[in-house]
Amino acid sequence: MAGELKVEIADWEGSVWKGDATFFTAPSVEGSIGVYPRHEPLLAILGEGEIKVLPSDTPEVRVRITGGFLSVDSDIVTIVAEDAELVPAAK
Amino acid sequence: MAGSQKVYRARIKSTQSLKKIFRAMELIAASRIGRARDAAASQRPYANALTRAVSLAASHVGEEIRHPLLTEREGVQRVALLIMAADRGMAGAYTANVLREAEAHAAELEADGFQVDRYVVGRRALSYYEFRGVPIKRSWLGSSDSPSFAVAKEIAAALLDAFEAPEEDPDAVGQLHVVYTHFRNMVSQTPRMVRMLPLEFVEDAEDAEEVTVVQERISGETAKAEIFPLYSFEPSPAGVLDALLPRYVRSRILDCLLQAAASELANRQRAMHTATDNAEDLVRKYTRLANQARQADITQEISEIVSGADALAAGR
Repeated sequence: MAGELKVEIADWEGSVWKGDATFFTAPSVEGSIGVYPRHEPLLAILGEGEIKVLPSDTPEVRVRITGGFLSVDSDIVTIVAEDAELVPAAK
Repeated sequence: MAGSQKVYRARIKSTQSLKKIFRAMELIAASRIGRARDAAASQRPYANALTRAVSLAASHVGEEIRHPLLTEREGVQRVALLIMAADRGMAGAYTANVLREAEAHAAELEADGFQVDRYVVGRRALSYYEFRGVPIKRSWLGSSDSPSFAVAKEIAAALLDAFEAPEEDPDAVGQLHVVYTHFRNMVSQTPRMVRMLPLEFVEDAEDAEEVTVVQERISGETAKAEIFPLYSFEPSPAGVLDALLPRYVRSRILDCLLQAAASELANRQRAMHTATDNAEDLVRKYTRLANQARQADITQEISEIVSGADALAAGR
């Protein structure tokens, strides 16, 4: 039984999004990476692009970022971006 | 002597209007200080995550870390000194204290045979140096009390460029030192010098809040250091470190800027509070003097009337 990822997306102005998720993808400099719960510890540099998070209880959340990094450690995910902006949900 | 009464009244009036200005400035500073502290606090998650990531990447690179930002540059006898002062006065001795610290430090460096390149933040510092004919490499003006990430980015980019420039470049520097005012709390702010580049790995025991990479953590020797699980890196530990270190420097510069801003506002608030109190004292003093003058006028008038009446009575 996989747990949930505790995701926090922040830029220098503070937290942009925070919550539990079952899956997310992020644009690393070497290509897009997807992370499910119980991923091995990871530290990746992010390029420009969109992070897609699948929260456990709400529809998909998308965040536009320009550069940054992400760390995954025992299902705790910290994404730190230069500039992060929530993309409004498509109707 | 109705003249002196008039003079006092005019002084009271002008002092009162000054007092209003001081009071307004005090309130403005007080309200901005909250914002400056919030900005410093909201930057903290970013800074903490960054520091953790840097020490993590460093611990995985292994013993041999040969990163240009971490190694002392031989042969470059120049030091960049970044001085963070205020754009405006009316902050007591704030700018003067920073400049004194900076100049004391610059003198030390020059005595050691280094050449000092000054980079300044804040109009007051710029005018101080311009007046004395001291050359300034670069200056950033207009945002000393509300620094933004964009400014920190610009400053960091300029200084990293200077640090990474080839030796022949006249702008090349071997070290970067920063003089700013450390915001300890609302009543205590002290000017401080830190060596930013090459990155210094000394943990500041004085306040745990300040994030600095620990030397021991990097070489993996201390028991204090967090024990990290085995991570995987994208693209590679060294690549990650490469990407993170400039960001780390930028975040440190932003942290210094935010602290300097909070200190500036705290100093301004205090200075303006004192000025308001002084204006009140002056108003009180002038009111007394004006009353005295009025009393003297009245006394004189009475004595003139009485002596006139006496003279008339005597002459009859």
